[in-house]
Amino acid sequence: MPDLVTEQNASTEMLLELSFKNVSYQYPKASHASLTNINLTVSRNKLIAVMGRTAAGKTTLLSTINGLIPHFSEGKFKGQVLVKGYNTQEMSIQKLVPYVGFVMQDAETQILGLTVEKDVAFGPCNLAYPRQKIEKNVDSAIHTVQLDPYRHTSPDRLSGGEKQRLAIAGVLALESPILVLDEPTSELDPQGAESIYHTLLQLKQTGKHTILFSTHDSQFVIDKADELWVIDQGQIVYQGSPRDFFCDPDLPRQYSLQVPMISDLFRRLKADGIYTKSVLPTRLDSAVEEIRSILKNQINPLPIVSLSSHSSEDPPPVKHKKVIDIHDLSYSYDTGRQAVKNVSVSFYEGEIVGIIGRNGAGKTTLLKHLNGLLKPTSGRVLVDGLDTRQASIEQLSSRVGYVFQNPDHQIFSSSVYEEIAFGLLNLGIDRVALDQRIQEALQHTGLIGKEKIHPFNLSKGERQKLAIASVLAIKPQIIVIDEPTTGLDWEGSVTIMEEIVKLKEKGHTLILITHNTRLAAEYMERIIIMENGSIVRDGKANMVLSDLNFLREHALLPPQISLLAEQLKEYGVPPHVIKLEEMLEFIRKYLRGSVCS
Amino acid sequence: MFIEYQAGNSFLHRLDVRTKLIGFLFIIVAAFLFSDPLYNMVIVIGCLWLAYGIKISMQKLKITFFTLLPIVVLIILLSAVSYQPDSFQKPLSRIVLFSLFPGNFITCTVGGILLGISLSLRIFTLVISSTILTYTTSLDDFLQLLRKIRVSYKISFIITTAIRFIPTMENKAQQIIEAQRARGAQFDNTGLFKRIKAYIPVMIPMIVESLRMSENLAMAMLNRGFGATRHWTVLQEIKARPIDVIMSIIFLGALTFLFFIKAAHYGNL
Repeated sequence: MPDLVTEQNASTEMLLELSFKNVSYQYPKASHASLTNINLTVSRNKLIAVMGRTAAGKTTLLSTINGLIPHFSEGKFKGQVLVKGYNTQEMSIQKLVPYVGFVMQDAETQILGLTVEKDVAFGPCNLAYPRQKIEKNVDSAIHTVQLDPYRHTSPDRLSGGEKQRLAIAGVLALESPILVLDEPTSELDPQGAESIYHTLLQLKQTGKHTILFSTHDSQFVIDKADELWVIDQGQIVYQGSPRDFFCDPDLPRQYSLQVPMISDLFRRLKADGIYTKSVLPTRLDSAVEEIRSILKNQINPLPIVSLSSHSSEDPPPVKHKKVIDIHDLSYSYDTGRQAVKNVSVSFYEGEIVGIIGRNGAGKTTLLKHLNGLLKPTSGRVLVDGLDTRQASIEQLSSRVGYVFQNPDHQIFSSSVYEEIAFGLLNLGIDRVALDQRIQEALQHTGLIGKEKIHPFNLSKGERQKLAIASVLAIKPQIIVIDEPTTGLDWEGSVTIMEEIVKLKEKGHTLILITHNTRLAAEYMERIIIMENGSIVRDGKANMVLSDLNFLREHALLPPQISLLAEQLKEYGVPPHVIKLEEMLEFIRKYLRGSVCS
Repeated sequence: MFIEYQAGNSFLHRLDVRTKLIGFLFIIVAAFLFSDPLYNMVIVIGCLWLAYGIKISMQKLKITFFTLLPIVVLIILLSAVSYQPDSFQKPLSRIVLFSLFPGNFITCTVGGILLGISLSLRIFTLVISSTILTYTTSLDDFLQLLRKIRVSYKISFIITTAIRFIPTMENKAQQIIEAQRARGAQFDNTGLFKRIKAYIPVMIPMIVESLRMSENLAMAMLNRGFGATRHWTVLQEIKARPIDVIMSIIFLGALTFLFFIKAAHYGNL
């Protein structure tokens, strides 16, 4: 009998891959703790998502698992992290490698080999595995992440998604049973993210791995993760089923997590009293069913015609002044790759345009022509009637502001104020006007009061705002923003987008590159879709984003509301509904109408 | 100037890196052994024939040739007037074409011109033969050679990493320059001080990024078990095949033969 008990204990110990016991941690020189009293246990073969707002402590938590904390980042560490029963404090990071594989967020700096194959072999070689075993592991790791055709390729020829997969393969080859991935998809386009998800699911299927990953993508977590941990201000505030968390009308908002568009819709319906269940649907199929049952309950629905005719009414198109005219533009890089092919397009005063397309479709190459960073190989670009080939960078930068994706690529001053002043000084603006312009820019981006702070003490979202402010101060008529919301949590994304919409209202022309079709649906007026260097679609946002066949054909993810609208056609959902508000309006009217009749 | 490694399966590609280095040495010594341009011409033609055989782009070699042309002209001009007639053995070389100053003070000799041509041909030999070497030998082979001669793993890792991150850093620099140009920064200032000042907005983000990357790199190395043990597995080892031994013997034999010819006063001016 006692034998049986110990055996049972032993087997539960075996199943417990990882446990945190009262873990607290404070970075050196930090004023407050980054982790407080974490108690968690993880059993084998689980796919666990870690979510939370920016700087909530996700990376810090994950870094304790393989010993980077406290071995690499020193500081005050309390409690225990046990990996397969081993205390991480007592083992070096390298000795933990056979148990924990850690993939950091930035794939680029994790690639240490001159070819894909050499890079994957780097880890096993360090652990002095026998040569045959290494060859076997490398083969299977490369195969799992589907990089077989690139075996002998140099890593700098890979795309972002491929690099991220290579970083994963480098860890897979170590055969660690626990895999930890810090935001593996945050810098990728939807196709790249999809390939990473595919890899994660495949790994889970092998039954050999316990996988922990942090992410901002709630839909994948809801659909596929076994467990969700939500961390906020260094504390675990939720541990359990992802669906339960996202079904809750309040929890996700409280911790600044993006909920699926449909869940948001149901939260609003619930607030209206239209939807009465306590849990919100999180998936499209259940959402369709719920709405059907809501609508079906109405005995005499309003005639379809009157409903649809109202919403599809378009305000007559107002012809605004043309500010940019691109005529038959082609551009080839020195390598001979033609990135933009015979593009003709115009942009108008006061419009907000979203440019969508895969990585490498030519979006950035096209937009770099607007401020003269690139000059056309053939064709011409006119900004305010000025040919960019003849204009100086000074002339162009005062007309077209360009905010790049990574704010850290431009920030160099020791205060927010000086950073914003840089562009103005380049234009030779006098001190008095300078101060006024800076104050305005601070105000627009909500950075007022922070002008004396060192930029690197700002959060990522604030640095993004600073980058925008430094361009805004120049007062360009046209503002180009490359991926304004990358790496930001939901709250951060919404604040940035709202600032952007305000700029549009002030008459600026805004051109945004984005992968996020939800943001595109909610905020853009016009959508341009690029593919292989050409514009394949240019039209009003509601026309383009509701054309599901077209979007699918071009491997673009339609906004969830468009998908919902398609499924509810029989109820007379007007065509071209893409926004949450529009769908809400339809449901309200439908119900009201039927009550009246 | 050098053409980077191209994977291939030519005879030269398949030779061991050590054999190729011996061959390379043989060519260089041969080129420096003889001062007669005819001999050097033969060597250059031999090298070109090799380059052609392994399909090195002749277009690129031509570009290299033209970039070197001004130097070649300068060398020949300088050499022509740098020697006194009695520094040459052959009567032909001793012929003085003209003197720059009366009294045979600075003389232009036939030997000087011929030697200048030889010097130039040596440069071509160096360029072409090193191109052939780098074209047919992967960096990996060189790294394995380092290991064979017991250079520490860390040093070869440093070399690998440095090469790995060259394109990454170039890319970063490009992005930073573009971000600053978009805010009206100008980099084509004249004057050293102005130019340095203009590059501050590029240098600071570059340094910050490099620091961030190097910290990440250090973590990534630990995550992959760098330094876990004192031993590590070597995946591929360079192996000399019989053909390598044969070729090495041929090179060394040929080299000895050249020394004999030299000793018999052939190939002098």
